[in-house]
Amino acid sequence: MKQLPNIPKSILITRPQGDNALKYLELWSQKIIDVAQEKGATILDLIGKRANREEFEKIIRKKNPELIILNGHGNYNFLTGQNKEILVEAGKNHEILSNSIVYAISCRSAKILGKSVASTGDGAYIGYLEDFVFYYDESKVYRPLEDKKAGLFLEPSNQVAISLLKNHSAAEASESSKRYFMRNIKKLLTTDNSSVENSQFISVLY
Amino acid sequence: MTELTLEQMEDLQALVSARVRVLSPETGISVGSSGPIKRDELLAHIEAGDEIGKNFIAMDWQFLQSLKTGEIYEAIAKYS
Repeated sequence: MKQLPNIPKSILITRPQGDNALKYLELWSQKIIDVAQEKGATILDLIGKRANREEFEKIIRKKNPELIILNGHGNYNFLTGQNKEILVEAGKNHEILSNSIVYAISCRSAKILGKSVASTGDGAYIGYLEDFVFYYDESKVYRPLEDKKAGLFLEPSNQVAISLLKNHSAAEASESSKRYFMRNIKKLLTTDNSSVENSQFISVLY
Repeated sequence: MTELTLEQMEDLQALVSARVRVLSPETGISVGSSGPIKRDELLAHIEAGDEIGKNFIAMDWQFLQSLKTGEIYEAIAKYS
């Protein structure tokens, strides 16, 4: 089973900017970066304008990062960066990801892109088969890390990367994240101050 | 999603809309590749029956089915 070394040499993370969803992913990813730094990894942070295809391909070829975290909008066969520029696409340049462990925090990319990546190298690809949906509180967009609504979705999502950084295999990291999602569902089902919104949150978490 | 009759689809659309209305209007929703939307925009997509609306209905239908079949409780037990 593919897993990271005890001290990963480098991890690459893309953090495009442009809308509130990307802003939430950008800031919540800081928690992953903090854990990676504690482990002594070099962080290759393609934030904002740096999340472009040229720089993305160049840095992977040069540094060969063991873990790649991709935040951004996507679809079945591709993932995007800044200004929705396609960074990686099945059948075009997907092999660039083939020797790393990849976690894509994006809609749908596991279905075609993930399968293409997994079939061409000795890496691993973790992503979502359909839409990655999360709720957030519009009144918290200037303080996303204080948004408990978003935390219900983004903490379990972060768990994939955090678990990988703690030397768990890709399969174990995925299971760990599912356990976290289920724990949040259980919390919402059993909490005393149950809000009518909870049923909708559970639907999306599930 | 199982093939539904037009009448069943209309019922489901109304049910999902009612469920989304319980969200605060200040709820942002990151859904699909087109960027985040607000609650009332999601309602408009559901009522228009476009791609975003249909995908959201399918997701909520899956959840409602899991309540009916008990699948969600099995999943909770499995991951506890």
